[in-house]
Amino acid sequence: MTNPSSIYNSINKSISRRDFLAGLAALGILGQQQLEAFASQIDPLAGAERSILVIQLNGGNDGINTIIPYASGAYYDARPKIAIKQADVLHIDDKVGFHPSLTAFQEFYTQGKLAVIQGVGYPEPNRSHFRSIEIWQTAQPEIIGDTGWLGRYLDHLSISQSPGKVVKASIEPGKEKIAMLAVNVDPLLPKSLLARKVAVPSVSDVQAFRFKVDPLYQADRALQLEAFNDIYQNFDDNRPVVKKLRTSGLAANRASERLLDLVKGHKTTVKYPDGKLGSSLKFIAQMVSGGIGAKVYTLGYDGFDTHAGELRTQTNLLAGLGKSLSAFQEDLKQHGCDDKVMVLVFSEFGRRVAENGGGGTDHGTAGPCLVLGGGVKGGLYGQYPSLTELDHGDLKFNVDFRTVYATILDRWLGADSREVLGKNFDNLDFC
Amino acid sequence: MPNRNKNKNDQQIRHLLSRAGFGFTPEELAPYLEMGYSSALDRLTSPSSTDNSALDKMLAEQSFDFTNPDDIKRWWLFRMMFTRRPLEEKMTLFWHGHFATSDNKVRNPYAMYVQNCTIRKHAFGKFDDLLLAMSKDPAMIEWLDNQQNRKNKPNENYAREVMELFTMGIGNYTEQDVKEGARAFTGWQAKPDGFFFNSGQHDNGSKTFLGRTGNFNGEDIVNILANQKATGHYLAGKLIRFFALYNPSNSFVDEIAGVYKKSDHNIGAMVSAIFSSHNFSSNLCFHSLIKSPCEYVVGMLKTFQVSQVDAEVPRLMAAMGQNLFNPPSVKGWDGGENWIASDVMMERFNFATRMISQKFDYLEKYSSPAKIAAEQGLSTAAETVDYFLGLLVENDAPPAVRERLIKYVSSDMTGKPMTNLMTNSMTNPAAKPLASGKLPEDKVLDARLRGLVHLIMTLPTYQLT
Amino acid sequence: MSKSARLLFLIVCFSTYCQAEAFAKSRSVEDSINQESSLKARHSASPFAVGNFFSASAAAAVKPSVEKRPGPKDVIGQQLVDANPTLEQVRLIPSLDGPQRKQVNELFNVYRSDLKLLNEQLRPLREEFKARLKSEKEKFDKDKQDRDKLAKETLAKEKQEPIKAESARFVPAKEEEDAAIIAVVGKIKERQNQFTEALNKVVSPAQMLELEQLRRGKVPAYAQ
Repeated sequence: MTNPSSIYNSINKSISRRDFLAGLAALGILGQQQLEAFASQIDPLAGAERSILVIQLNGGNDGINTIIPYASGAYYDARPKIAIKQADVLHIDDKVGFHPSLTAFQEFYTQGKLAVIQGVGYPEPNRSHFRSIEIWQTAQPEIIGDTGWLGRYLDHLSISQSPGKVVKASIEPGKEKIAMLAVNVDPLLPKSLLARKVAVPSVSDVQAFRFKVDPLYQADRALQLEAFNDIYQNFDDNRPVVKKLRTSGLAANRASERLLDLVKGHKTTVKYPDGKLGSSLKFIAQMVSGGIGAKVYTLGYDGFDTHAGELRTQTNLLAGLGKSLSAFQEDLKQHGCDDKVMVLVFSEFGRRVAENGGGGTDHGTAGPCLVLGGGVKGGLYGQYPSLTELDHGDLKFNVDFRTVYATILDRWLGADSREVLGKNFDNLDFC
Repeated sequence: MPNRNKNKNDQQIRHLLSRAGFGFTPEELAPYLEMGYSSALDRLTSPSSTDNSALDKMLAEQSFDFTNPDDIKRWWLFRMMFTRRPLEEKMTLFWHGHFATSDNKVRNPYAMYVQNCTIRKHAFGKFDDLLLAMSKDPAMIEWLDNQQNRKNKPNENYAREVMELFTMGIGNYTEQDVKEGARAFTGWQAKPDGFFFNSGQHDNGSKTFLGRTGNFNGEDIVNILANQKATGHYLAGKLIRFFALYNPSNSFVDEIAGVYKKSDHNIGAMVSAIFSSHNFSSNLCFHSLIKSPCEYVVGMLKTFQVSQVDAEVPRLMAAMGQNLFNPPSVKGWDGGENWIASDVMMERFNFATRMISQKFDYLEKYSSPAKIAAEQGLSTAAETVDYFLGLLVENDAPPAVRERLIKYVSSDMTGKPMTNLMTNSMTNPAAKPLASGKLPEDKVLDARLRGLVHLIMTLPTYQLT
Repeated sequence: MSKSARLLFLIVCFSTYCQAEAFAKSRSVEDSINQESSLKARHSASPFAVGNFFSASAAAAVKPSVEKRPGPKDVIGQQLVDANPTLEQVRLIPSLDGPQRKQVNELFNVYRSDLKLLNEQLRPLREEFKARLKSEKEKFDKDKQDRDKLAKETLAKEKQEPIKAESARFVPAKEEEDAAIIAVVGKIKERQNQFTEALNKVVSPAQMLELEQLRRGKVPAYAQ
């Protein structure tokens, strides 16, 4: 084996900020214009402060028990044990209604802020969690994609910045405002955020997300950080795995300092429910109102794979979802940002029409999407899939999920959905 | 200066031992170096040939409560640190990620512990035996709802995952196969004393599964699946990506799939073949995998000889993305680049901080960076940096990094260069930093050495194995 | 001798001394050989302390151990620790038959709801106590502030050294001495003991031993 250290040149001067940016750009870590935007004090995204929060319900949420066809006899025939009683359903219209836990959503619906899109799916549905999640996250059912739809959106955003908006600024290194394009509030980065040019940080606990040194030697922190940054910026190594490590390490450091400042400064009277969903949404509210300028936030909510014991599990999970989003909306409202964030809630598939032997349901196909918040024209969209004309026991979709994405991209984010999704998809009218 | 073994054979052995275990101390490495590569390989891939009674003795002296979810994690970490059969533990970890079962749902630490023992028992043997044992394992039955898989209302969960994730992989079966497979596993239940075949709930009818027809029971399904070509291929790919390379060539995967067939599904033979392959000993393989949190944490504990596994370690590993006995889903841990999303990188860096901070100084056998430097007689910045780079990353760092580290070590607390590195006033635990945040002179060196080791452990190449 | 060599020598001597102590009892040939080889190992400038990982020496000054999470720190919390097994643990006993399982379930149901009630009595008492403690401390601090202020003013007026104020210290009342709290804690302990008796009537000693063995790591034959 050759000694790896023999192939490197020695660059041993401190790098100016321009060089640093040029260096990063050369490595393809961030687009050059994007970097200049970061470096300027003028937020290049000002005026287009809209963002999207994508919440993925992990496990395959049972859509039929979420948006309930309470007027359908077939519903009660197929689910003698786990159907929700008619009297408990929260009505939307005379045919469908919400699960009783979703009082918050009924409230949003009445205010015209919630769009319920029925029967969302895609052709030749896949009932494997992982493949189906991958399809929703890459928006590429025909191939195994290697970038996510949100990642591709961020990539296009970073190239399409018009140079005219950028003002050259003289900022001292270390004092620049860091704008972040996207934040993932989960330990693992979802494939939807995989991009070619942009590295999205995953921050699930902002207090832990900080470069620490021996607590008895705090005085050393500045010097260590400086050494760390110098080393990472100058780590001349062509191995792809090393490049990825560098990107991640650098992004981590830059983001952490900025986020800590934000969180310190946030004040709210809203009380979020206990648990990860509540605290994650609180953190997102802090970032939105703190103005980090991110366009995309992603979050996962676990536990929906209800093969057994569905009634109790789903009741608890949906209650958590409703309460947390309610607190979130209220918090944003207090800070004047509630019309700036659109929330998309989806799951990788719905579940079978008939219940199974364990008080639950097995993997299915189509399900509802819920869109809430800024710019939403509330109401019912799509059609409730037939419970009797099925595809091997499963619902047939009537809304391709990519039209939901296209609508959000074109009408809310002002992007070109054709570029991001690879071809033209119709828009729905929920926004 | 210690001999850093530029000998190619020694480097190969270090590479092998890294991949076959969770890091190693010099004492642990020495016997393998003496044996030479092929004997070392033989020894590692037949764990039963190494006496592990020292570990058993150590375990007997601890008091674990195997009904406690934290204790089972500490127990396993203890095993990883002190076992004389590193590859046995590594394989157990591999299979734990493969047959990923989470206590989050099972809620029975004892059953998870028994599953772990079952895995270890079959880890190197015939795959069919392991697959059958897992199909009958109580924790697995609970995890994939087979307890509810009954004659008149079959539950498809186990049948689906056994094909998609445990044997052939996606694309090799149809939805109909899933349904028929589920019928074959009806009545396979668990009781507190283990597997229980509830014949009253078993669907006795004829089933058509992967093109074969018969009155199949779960054992038949296991047999059919283990003999599928796709299974050998799928397992070969996973084993290679875990032990050798992220992007193996098709021919390498085919080669190992061939060993699966030729050896009558023997896992040990496959692993042995991977380690013997020229793909494994090539330059491209060195430092090409990202350490899992397990390897990262256990390796560091070994390097610093921390003899007390502290209570926080399982939680910190979970924060890095690997919660033992609680994989995020039935798919296990994706590994690779998934270990290095930005915030888990920060967790790694901060774990390294913890390791070199004065927290562990009270442990007599803990080797602080300053202690090591003193014992090695390191007296210049360059010597010190070289020593630790060799020890921690096997010199896998560009010259610029070495230069920058020397600059860091030779500067005082304000960043100005110090002219000489003091070597003899380092280990005064009573001295505390002054209130103003300034350090008394003799603590500056201690801070520098700790900082140096910390910085090296945050290097991209320290994350590699 | 150079400083580092002296250090090394000292380390060697100290370790040898420790080891010699340990082996004082059994002076077998094997032990002597072990000593020899570990001395050798130390002389070979290995950076790591000998006697821990895979070394020839059997005497490690610090045995590897596992740190457990500490239990509750407060006295009341420590008193309340329940030594009874949980329902999940009892369910693990393999030889428990159907009727026993039913009885155990019922026992635990009643026990849990009783404990819930008792804890609901205890909680407000403890919260009240904490609040009282807090306000007493605040009062004490304020009084001290006033006294100090007065002393200062006196000094300024009379240009005299004030009498040194009694360095009173705040002595917080103890939860474990509060009569109301003790009473409820007593009831909880009593209930715990009652449950132990009741459980032992349903589950035999041999079966409890089975549970104990499981907790210590006994594994069924198929997993060995």
